[in-house]
Parts: sequence; C-alpha cells; structure tokens
Amino acid sequence: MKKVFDTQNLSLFYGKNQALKNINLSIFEKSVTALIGPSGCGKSTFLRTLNRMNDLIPDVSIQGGVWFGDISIYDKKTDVIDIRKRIGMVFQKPNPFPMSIYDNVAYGPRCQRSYSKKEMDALVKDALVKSALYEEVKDRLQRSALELSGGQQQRLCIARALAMNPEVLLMDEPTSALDPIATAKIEELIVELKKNYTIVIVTHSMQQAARISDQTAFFLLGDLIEVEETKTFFATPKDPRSESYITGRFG
Amino acid sequence: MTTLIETEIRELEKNLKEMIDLVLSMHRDAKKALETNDTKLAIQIIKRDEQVNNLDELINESVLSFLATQAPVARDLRSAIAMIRVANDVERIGDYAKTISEFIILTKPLYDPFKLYINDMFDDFMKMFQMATSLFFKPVLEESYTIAAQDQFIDAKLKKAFHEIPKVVNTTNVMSLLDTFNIIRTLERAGDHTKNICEAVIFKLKGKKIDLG
Amino acid sequence: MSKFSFRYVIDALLQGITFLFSSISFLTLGAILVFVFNQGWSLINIDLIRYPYESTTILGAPLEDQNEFCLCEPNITLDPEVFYSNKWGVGFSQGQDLLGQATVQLAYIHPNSPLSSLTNKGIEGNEFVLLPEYLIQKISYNDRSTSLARRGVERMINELESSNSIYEIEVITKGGGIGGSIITTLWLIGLTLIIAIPIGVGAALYLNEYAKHSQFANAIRSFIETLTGVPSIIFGLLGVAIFIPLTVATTNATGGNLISGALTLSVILLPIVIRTTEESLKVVPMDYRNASLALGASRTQTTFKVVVPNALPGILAAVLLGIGRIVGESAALIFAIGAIVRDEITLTDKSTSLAVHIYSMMTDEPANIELSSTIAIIILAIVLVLNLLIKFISSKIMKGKLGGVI
Repeated sequence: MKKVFDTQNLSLFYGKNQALKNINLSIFEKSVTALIGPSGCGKSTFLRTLNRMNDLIPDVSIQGGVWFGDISIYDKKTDVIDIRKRIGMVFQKPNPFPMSIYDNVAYGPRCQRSYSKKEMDALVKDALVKSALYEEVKDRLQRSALELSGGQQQRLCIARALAMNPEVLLMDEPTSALDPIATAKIEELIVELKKNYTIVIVTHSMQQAARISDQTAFFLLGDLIEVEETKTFFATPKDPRSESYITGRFG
Repeated sequence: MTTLIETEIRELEKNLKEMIDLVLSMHRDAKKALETNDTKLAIQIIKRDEQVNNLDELINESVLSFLATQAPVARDLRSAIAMIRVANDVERIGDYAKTISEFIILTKPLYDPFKLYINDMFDDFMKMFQMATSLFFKPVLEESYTIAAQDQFIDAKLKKAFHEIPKVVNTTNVMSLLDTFNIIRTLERAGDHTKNICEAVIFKLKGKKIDLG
Repeated sequence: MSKFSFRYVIDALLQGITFLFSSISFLTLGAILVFVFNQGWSLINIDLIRYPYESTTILGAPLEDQNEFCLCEPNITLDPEVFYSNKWGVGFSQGQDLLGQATVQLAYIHPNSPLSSLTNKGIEGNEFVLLPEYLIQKISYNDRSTSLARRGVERMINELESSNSIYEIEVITKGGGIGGSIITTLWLIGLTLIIAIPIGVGAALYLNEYAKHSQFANAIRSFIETLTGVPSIIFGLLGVAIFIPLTVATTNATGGNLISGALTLSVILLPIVIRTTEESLKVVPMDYRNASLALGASRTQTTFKVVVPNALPGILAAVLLGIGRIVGESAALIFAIGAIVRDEITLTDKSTSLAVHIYSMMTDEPANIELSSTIAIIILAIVLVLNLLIKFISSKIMKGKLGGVI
C-alpha cells in the first residue's frame, strides 16, 4: 500500500523536554490510523508535526524527518501553506468561525483565490454533502454556524476542511466533546471518508480506535511502543505495555 | 488496586472452578460407585449433574454480560471466550459421569476382566483433567501440549480393550462386553474433551485455534 | 444573636453600604449634569452656530441718492414686540446679546426702505445690505442727537421717526458663536482618529499576533502600560517642542495649528488604543487562529479575516474612548494649538477646540460660566451622538457577521 506519511527518527523537543523520541511511523493511503496512548504520551504532538501546526508553539525543535509523499515537510524550502492545503485538520473542540455556515465552508478556498458564486455554491454543497451535513442545513446556509449543535458544528468543521480538497484529514480527538449519537455519526462518517481520504485520528477511546481504524499506533511517554494492524492489536498485542494499556491495567 | 475488569474476571473464574471441582468429584465418585455397585452414590452423582448444567448456563450468561459491559480486549477478551469453550467441555465431561451413573443404577453387570482398564482410564483421565484445568488458570504454552499428549495413554487402553474383544466374545458375555466397552468409550471421550481444554488454553494465550489431534 | 442571622446582618450591611456608595456616585455625577444644564440651557439657540465668534462692527452711511422716505406699511405681519417706523420702513425689536446686555435687533426691513443698502464706511465705496437680525448699535443723525441701543428699542424708534436725515448707522453682526470651535473639534476628532487608530491597531496586532512572546514585545508592552498613566499636559509640552516646529517647517503654519494639535492628541491616544485593542485581540480564541491556519490561510489572512473582525467591538470601544479623550482634552491643546478662538478654520492655523473654548471663556474678565456651561452641553451632545452612532454601526456589523457575510 502506498505511503502517505513516513517519519524517520522523528524527535521533538519543547525547549529541553523531549516530547517525541525517535518515531518511525508510516501512514498508508486511504486508511484510518489511530494514535492511542495515555495523556501526555505525545500522540497529539505527533499529529501536529504532520501539518506543521507545532510551528505555532514557541521553543519547539525537530530532529529527524517527516515525509509527505516525496516532500520533506520540515525542509526550509517547503511551503507550509501548500502543505496545509493538502492536509486538513479537525480539532477536539468544534471551532467554527462566527460566520454563516456557507462562509465557514467557503473560508479556506476563498483564501486561495476568488470564485464565482456558482462555483462556490457547488463547492460548499459538495463539502457539506461529503460530511453528511447538507440535508440538515441546506435551508439555512446563511445562518450563523454557532446556532448548530455540537455534533453538527464538528461536521461543519469537517466540511470546512474537506472544502480544500485535501488528501489527508488529521483529527485530534474529534468526538471527545460530543454525545454518543453525534459520536456515532462522526465515526460512520470517518469510515465512509476513508474510501477517499487518508485519515489519522488521535483518540482516547479504545473502542473508537478498535471500531474504525485499520492501523493502531500506541504511544507512551514519547515513544512509539507498537504499531499494528488494528484487529491484531486488540486481539493479540505484541508488547506487554500495549496489553497493559488497552486492558486498562494502567492508565 | 484491582481493576474493575479483574474483579469481573475473578468472578467468572470462580464459577468455572466450582464447575470443575464438581465434575471432578462426580468422576471420583463414579469410579467408586462402579466398584462397589453403589446405587445410592450413583443417584447423588446424577443430581450433581443438574448443578453442573446450572453453572454452565450461569457462565455463559456471565460471559455475555462481561463482553457487553466491559468491552474487553486482548487477553481479557481471549480469556472470556476460552472460558465458554472450557465450560462447554466440562459440562460434557460431567454428562459422561452421569451416563456411567445411569449404568450403575440399571445394575448392569460389568465384564470383569475390563475392570482394570476402566480403573486405569479413570485414573489417567482424572489426572489429565486436573492438570489441564489448573493449567487453564495459570496458562503455560508448552504444558498445554504435554498435558494434551497424556490423552494418548487413554486412547491406547481403549485400543487394547478393543482388540481383545474378538478374542473373548461369546454369546453369554456379549451384552456385558458391549456395556462395559461403552463405559470405556465414554472415558475415552472424556479424555478427548480434556484435550479440548488444552486447546482452549492455547487460544487463551495465542488467540489461535490449534487442533491437538 | 445566633451565628446564622449574624451573617445575614453582615450581608445586608454590606449590601447597604455598596448601595450607598453607588448612590453617592450617581448623585454626584447627576449634580454636575444638573449644574451644567441649569447654567447653560438658557443660552442654547441656533445663533451659536450661525454667528461667528467675533462680531464685526460696520459703520454704514445711507447711499447718496437715497432721499425718499419709505412711508410704507410692512408687507408681512410683524410680531407685537416689533417697533416699526413708517418713515424709514424698518422694524426694530428688543434683543439681548450673548453677554446679556440689551441690544436692538433689526427685525424687518421693507424693500423700499432707504436704509436697505448702505455704504460701508470702512471699505471705501463698498455697499453692504442691512439684513434682519443685525444689531443696531447706534444711529447718528444730522439733525438730532445720536440714538444708542442700550437706551432701549422704543426710544430708538421714536428718535428715528423724528429724524429726517441719517448720518451713519453703527451695525454689529452678532458674535459669540462657537461654530469655529465646533468645526475645530470635529476636525481634531477626524484627524486624530485617522492617525491614532491605524497606528494603534497595527501596533497591537504586532504585539499580540506576531511577536507575542519575544522580549522586545514585552518591553514595548510595559512601556506602553506606563504611558497610559502619563498626565497629558506633558504630551502638550511634546507638542510644543516637536510638532509645532515640525509643522511650521513643513507647511505654511506660523505657530500652533490643527495639525500639530491632532498629532499631539494622537500621541496621547496611542497607548489607550494599543491597550484596548490588545485586550480585545487576546479575547479572540486561539481556536479560530488554529482553524484558519490549518486550512492553509497565511498569517495575514488569518489576522484580517478572522482575528480583526472578531476584535472589532474592542477596537470600536477604543475609538469611543478616544473620542471622549479628544473632546475633553484641554491642557495639552492649549499648548499644541493655542487658545485663540477663530471662525475661519484652516489646518495650518491656530484655533480652539470646544474644551479650549471653555477655557478661554472662563479666563475672560468676567468668567462666563453660562456660556461655558452651554458649550459643555454641546460637548456632551456631540459625545452622546458619536457614541450612539458607533454603537449602532457596531451592532450592524455584529448582526452582519453572525447572520451572513463579512
């Protein structure tokens, strides 16, 4: 299977504190990779290295390489904006802009170039359909995004990311702020989306990782302990630390 | 501090252990009752089988709840599934003790020369059963193979008895021979099911079903 | 007394005290307002704007070829208080100037009146027209003693009626207007905001968005914090020392002027604008910036499409604060522009803002509290109108944002 991301001996430091230790992880095309591990283990940090969102944090330094296809992400010549156009991100807390639903989805594309109304209408509708939100909002696209429920807002954020037509979707605990029904909807959506997008998802829920991912990577204190096909990982994990974690023997 | 899951698993294992002890005692008593033709003991053994069946039902339900509520993974998941398999085999083994007890109650005569085989097979079986069931709660991979191998002794005795039949059969002893051989076969089956318990141990450890022959 | 009810008593006492303090504040502020309105309300009328500050005195003489008397009745109905002279075709009424003295006002002049056009004795040969509302200060006759306005209108009309030949009329255009100062104030508001808001907002954007954690930014920030406490008269000195020479050198200004005043006010305003804007930028959630950047927007796009629109209420608040400060600033402007009241306002010349006008009135002999209070009322009115305008615009923008397109 084709590799979308490949990290080679990736280490990350917050000042002197090493948050990621020599991570070697491959992400494969059109699949879901789940990153699990206890709090502070580095999974969210790792996720953010994939689209250089760690750049926003002061005092961060990187060693090793992250390859996106055949582009080295941390090369000085790499265009960060271009990378972020091809890699979408959804955050833990739904964060739609205080604008209309339409404008939220149109935001990303509008930053790149201007569109005719017809073009943009089609683009917005397409993104909302892909994120299973269109039917619910088609009659109120000009209303504020903040009027939507939590689950709808999160799907809007997904639509917003999809509007950029990315190759990858990075999701940082996308359902931890949502109720079970909204969570289920988004999990269904992810399973549907992986037919066309590569998805990397950080999750605290073992069940979620088990349900929807193809590959699971277990992080602990900055180390990548085990990465394995999900069904094998949850039935017969190889590393005893993995087993201790997923069976809840230690938090 | 024990986790919630561990407490649940301990509860499940308690029931299984109770079932195993019960079945072991049934066979011990069956061996004794057979020797002394003790009908009263035989009736008790049959009553105990009811308890065994109840425990089997309980274990199945408990494992179902456990899977639903705890959503276990890895070794917890494998243990739970293996437990159902073991309960199934233990229940069958209990049935065999019941069958033998029914034989005693019907006061059918035994073919005396085969009594030796029967007693040896009882001993072989009970030893294997004890080891296999203990192994289940403290699993070690190699031992599941070695314990399973003990079944060959039981099989060997059946073969020997079987080969003797044509040499000794006549019109007067044919019925008692058949009946006695049935008991021998029953004990051989008990050994097979004990081998299944070893397979369950392997599944508990590895998540794979291996056929031990 | 049980502990239980004791606590309630303390609570009630505290509540009472805080109520008392807020009442005192309310009453004090209210008393100031009442005082100002009381003193100044009587002088409020449209003349404050229509007339220049300086009243000009014109000496007029009847035209050479005007010999005939009018002998006409007025062709409109005159007010009962108007005293009319048939002979001359003029109607006078009793008036009161802004300093409270008795005046004679031209209420009506008949088109055929020989006095409708006069020669301006000051500028040789120029004609000027007598218009209603001019004040007649005195009339000199060839055939009798002079009429003086302060002796009353009835007497003047009788004396006029009794004369057949007018030598000259001293006419005063009304003064005391504050139109010039109002224009100055509005100019100051406009210029200062145009200078201070972009610079202030820009600085706040740099400090909060681009250089948030650098040592340099921290140093700037504490420096600006300190500046907000500096008394504005010091900035006035800055104005005299730097801005006046600067404008004198670069424009045709000769001393204090509007531009130097606006520059001085900008400097006063800058720390406030920066502080307020920074606070409102801080309140914009980091989440929005993250989302924008993750979508492939540049820093600039993120700042202007997401952060600034969300910080707009705060920026508008800074504008409101600024306006209040500008309108109220007196000491610094006295230095930076000057305290000379003007009617013709040019950017490169001295003039006064309304606050400085009050200063000017109050330092006159005698201090004119009534007019000052009137000006105070006008200042309050301007501030109120601008506040409401900005709040209205702000709420329109908010509605626009939440419901539709930016």
